[in-house]
Amino acid sequence: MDFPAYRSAFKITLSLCTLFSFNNSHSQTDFFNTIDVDIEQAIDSEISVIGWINQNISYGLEAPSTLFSRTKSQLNGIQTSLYLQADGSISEKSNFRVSGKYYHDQIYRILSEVPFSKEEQDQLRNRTEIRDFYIDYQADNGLYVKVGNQILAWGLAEYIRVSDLINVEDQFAIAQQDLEDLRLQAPATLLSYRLKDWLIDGVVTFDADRNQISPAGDEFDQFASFRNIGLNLGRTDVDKRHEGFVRLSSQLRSGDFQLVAGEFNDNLLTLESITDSSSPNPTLNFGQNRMRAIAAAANWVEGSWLFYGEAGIHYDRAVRPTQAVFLTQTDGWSEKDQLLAVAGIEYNGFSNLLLSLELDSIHTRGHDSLMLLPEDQISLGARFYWTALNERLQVLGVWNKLAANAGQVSRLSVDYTWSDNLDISFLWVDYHTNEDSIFYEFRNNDVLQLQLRYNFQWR
Amino acid sequence: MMKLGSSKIFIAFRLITSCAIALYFFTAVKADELSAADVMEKVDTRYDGDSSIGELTMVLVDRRDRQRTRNLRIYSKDFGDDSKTLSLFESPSDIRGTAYLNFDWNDANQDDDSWLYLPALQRVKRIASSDTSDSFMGSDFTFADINGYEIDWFNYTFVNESEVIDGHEVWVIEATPKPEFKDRAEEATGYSKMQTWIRKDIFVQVRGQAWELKGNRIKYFNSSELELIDDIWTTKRLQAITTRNGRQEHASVLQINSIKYNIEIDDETFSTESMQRGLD
Repeated sequence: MDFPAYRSAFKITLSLCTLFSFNNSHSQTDFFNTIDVDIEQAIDSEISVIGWINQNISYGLEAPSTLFSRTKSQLNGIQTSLYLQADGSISEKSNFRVSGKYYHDQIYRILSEVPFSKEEQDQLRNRTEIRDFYIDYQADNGLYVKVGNQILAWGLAEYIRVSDLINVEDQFAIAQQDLEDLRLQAPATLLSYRLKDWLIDGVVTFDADRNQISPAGDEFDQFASFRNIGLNLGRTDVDKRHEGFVRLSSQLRSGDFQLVAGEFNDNLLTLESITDSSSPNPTLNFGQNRMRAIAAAANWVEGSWLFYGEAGIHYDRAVRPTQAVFLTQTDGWSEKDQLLAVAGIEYNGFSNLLLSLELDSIHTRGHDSLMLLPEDQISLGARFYWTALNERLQVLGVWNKLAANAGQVSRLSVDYTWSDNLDISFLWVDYHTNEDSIFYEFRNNDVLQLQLRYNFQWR
Repeated sequence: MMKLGSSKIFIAFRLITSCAIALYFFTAVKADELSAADVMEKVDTRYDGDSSIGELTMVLVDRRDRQRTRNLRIYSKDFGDDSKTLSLFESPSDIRGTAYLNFDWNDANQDDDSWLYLPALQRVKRIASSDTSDSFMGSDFTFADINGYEIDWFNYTFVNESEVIDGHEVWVIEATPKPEFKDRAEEATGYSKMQTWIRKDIFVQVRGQAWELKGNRIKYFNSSELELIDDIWTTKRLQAITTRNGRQEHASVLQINSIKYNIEIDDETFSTESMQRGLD
């Protein structure tokens, strides 16, 4: 089951002078005088450690259905998280990075009347994740090698993945993730070599994972409806744990170009077989389909406009059938080739404001009436990013119209930098889905969040 | 403060280091015989090194005197008439690893090429040429203050041909857009007019004042801590204060902690892969 990921935006930040008057006044002749500031220089060292502590309070604005643990409008998260990242040098040519994140949510202890499932408590509300864990080496002949858990974000599209195929996604709370949690690290080896104006990247992943999805009971449990009708859920192992990708890219005047090809496991879980199909409680066995892809991405700049596009073919995508025949496809979903295309535009000609619009299309070859989604799926994403008060205030709004008229998701975040160490954030996410949408169960997951973040750095 | 250069240079420390010792001995023409335009031409046609690596601290001060500090390292290199600059942010932690790469083409009809690397996404993103009258990284300096703009777009007149600042004689010159370039000049700078104070002995800009088109704001620039480093006059401290109706709104200080000129920098440093890999 897929759900378009939300990608936040960041623009090299611009400022807007404050609209308010000021408490401290200075006479005009003072303004050439030197003002006193504390100059805190960065200290050079072999190892640096940065991190932050987040305190997040989340309130569910509506009552999710009875399929989920929470069934009324109430607090749905009091989460504390700690992120630590260490960077260092092994030699002049080699560096390493280790990072990890710890989550603890106090909610199930405070709301004892809500029957949070054990999976929720163990897999979602309390967890520790190793994120980056790699070393790299820059050889004298120009070859660059990077081995270990890492993120390799390719492509240009913001709302669908055409050539950005290596890393899996955090889909625990769809559209609510922090920027750094959109992609999750993959264990991989990257070989990179520049040949004149072209950069050649080769990647092999060793233990291909799938998108992280919510556990049973959680309000983003993607299998809740199956469980509700008594179906058992099983997992099948993938045939191949490794994946391979190559990319050829170049930066040209006013534009960039990249060509990507790969063979990989689908990051989405798809149905591979149904066992005990004649019993009242058949078992649905989900796995990851082996796929191949070839894609191209390009962008170019014209004044304050940035245009970008992607196009590609994904071979052997497993396609979900309609509900009527769902249980009859006991050998798994049929595999089809899909043509994907993206056209996007960004405009930053207004002061302190970035606007963007992206149109996405997926065409399924050999489509038939037994498939749930239409032959052509069109989706749309729009975004604005505005800063004020010399970037102390940042406002990001995202609206995503889902493919196949499945619904829409709106997201508004407001971040205020109180100091170099302390940020205060507010987030509102609204989910609107149609009754026949596969996301219908998530329609009441609208949320308000307040977040305090304390940043620190040792170096 | 203003750098009136035909070679638009993105990064601030190029601005700060914009006065070369070569100008100190620049010409046989007596300073008093120069017109205001001649003076600005001399300021513009300077040598500021073929490459440099600088460690800088930028302090942003808001109306309540709360300070935010950014430390950054900047690599810069000339490639013929073009130049390339890579800026790496080292602190605070929430922007550590952010990198900005800019290719400044000498061709006036060719926009700069710019990329931004965001460590949270671990992705390099090309960005459109920004509105040059916008702020540089939340500071009181605009991209135009830092990049410079076309010297030929402005008329220059002496406001005062002899003033003394900190014991040094200066010219005070006012720049106003030529009628035929008024729209482009105002769009590029965001200012209706500018004044600059130029030291007569070394052609260093030591003060500036700029009138914003919007909001009844005036900016005051002050450069100090001049030092001769590797035979290049370097302004190690640059300050900008934005005022509105005579009251201070915001201030920024850009301090060079260290800088080296004309050192060997690999061409590959100025690439998008360097942004991702860092240069520690």
